[in-house]
Amino acid sequence: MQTLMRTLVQGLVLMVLFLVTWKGLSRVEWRTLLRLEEISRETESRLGENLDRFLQKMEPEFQAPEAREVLDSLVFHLASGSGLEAGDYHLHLVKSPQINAFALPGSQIVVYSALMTEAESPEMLAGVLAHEMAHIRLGHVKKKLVKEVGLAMVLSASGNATPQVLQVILKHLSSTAFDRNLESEADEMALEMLQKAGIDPRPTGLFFQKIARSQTGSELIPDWLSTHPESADRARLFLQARGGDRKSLMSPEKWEAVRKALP
Amino acid sequence: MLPANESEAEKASNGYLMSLVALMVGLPLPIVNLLATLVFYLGNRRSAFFVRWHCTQALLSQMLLFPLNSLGFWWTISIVFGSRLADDSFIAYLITLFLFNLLEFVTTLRSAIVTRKGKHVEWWFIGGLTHLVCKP
Repeated sequence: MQTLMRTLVQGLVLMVLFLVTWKGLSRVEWRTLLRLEEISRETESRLGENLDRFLQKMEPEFQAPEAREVLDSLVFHLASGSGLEAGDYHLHLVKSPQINAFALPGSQIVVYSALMTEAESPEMLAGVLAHEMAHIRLGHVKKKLVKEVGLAMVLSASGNATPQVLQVILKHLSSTAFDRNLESEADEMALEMLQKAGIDPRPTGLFFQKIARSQTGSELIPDWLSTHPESADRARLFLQARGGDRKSLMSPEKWEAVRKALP
Repeated sequence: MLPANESEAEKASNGYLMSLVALMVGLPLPIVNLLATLVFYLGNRRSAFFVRWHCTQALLSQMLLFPLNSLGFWWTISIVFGSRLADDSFIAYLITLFLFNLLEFVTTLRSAIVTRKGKHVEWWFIGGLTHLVCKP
C-alpha cells in the first residue's frame, strides 16, 4: 500500500512537472525568438511573386488607364489616411464579368472590371478596396491559405511552384470566403480606414445592400457576394457609421465615364 | 535484487538497449520504440525475475512516453498538412517533449550499463510501478 501511495504521488509530481515546464516555456515568444515571423513573411512574399507571374499569364491585366488611376488614387487615400504606404499594395485590374475582388499573398489585390462597373460611386469601390486591404494588414490571407490548403502546399508554392498548385491556391483565394470572425475583423478595420481617409462609409453599406438584394432573384450571384456572405448584416455596420469629412472623391460624371470605358 | 548469472544481467541490459536502438528508427514514429520494448518483454516473460523486472521497467517507461510523443507527432502533422499554425505553445510542447525524452534516454542508457554489470537500478516512479506490476 505504501508503495502504491508513493508511486501515485511520484506520478502526480511528474505530471505536474511536465505541465509546468510546458506552460512555463509557452510564455516565451518562440516565434519571435526563432524569427519565424520573418521567415513567414519571406515565404508569403515569394508566394506572392509566383502568383503574380501566374496571374499575368492566365489573366493578363486589363489596360484601362482611367480605371487604373481611380484604383491607385483610392488605395492612396486609404493607405495615407491610416499612415500606410500605398506603394506596399499591388493592384491588378482584370477584365472579367465576375463581380469580384480578392487579396493575394504579397499584398496584392485583384479587382475584376465588373466590380467597378457595378459600383455606382467611387466610395462604394473604396469600401471594397479597404476591406481587401484590411485582410492583408491583418494577415488573413496567409492564415486562410494554410488553413485551407495546408502549410506543405503553401511552402511548395513559394518555391518552384507548378501551375497546378498555383491554380489551386488562386481558386481558393478567389472563390472561398474567410471565416466569419476574419470577415468581421476586416470589416471593422475597413470602416476605420474609410473614416480615417475621410471617405463616407455609407455608400459601402448601400453597395452591400444592393448586392444582397440581387440574391433574392434568380440572377447570378456576384462572386464577391458569394464569397462574402451575410452582406445584409455587414451593410448595417457601414450604414450606421458616421460619414467622412472629405467631399465626394470624384464627380458623378467622371465616375460614369470611367465605368463606361470598362467592358 | 541481483541477477543469478552473467546471462541474466545481459538480457536485462538488452531490454533497455531495445528502446535505444529503435530510437534511430523510431524518432519520428513513437510506436516503434514501444513495439521494440514490448517484443523484448514478451520474449522474456518466462525469464528470471531480474530480467523480467527490468524488461518491465523499460516497457513501462516507453508506455508512459508514448501518448506524449504521439500527441507531439500528430500535432506536427496537423500543422504541416492541416490547418493549424505553429504557435508558441506548440514549440514549447516540442521542447518539453525533447527534454523529457532526453531524460528518459540518459536514464535508459545508464540503466543498460548498470544492469549489464549485474546491479539493480530503480527509476523514480516507474520503478514503483514496476514493483506493483511485476511479481517474483
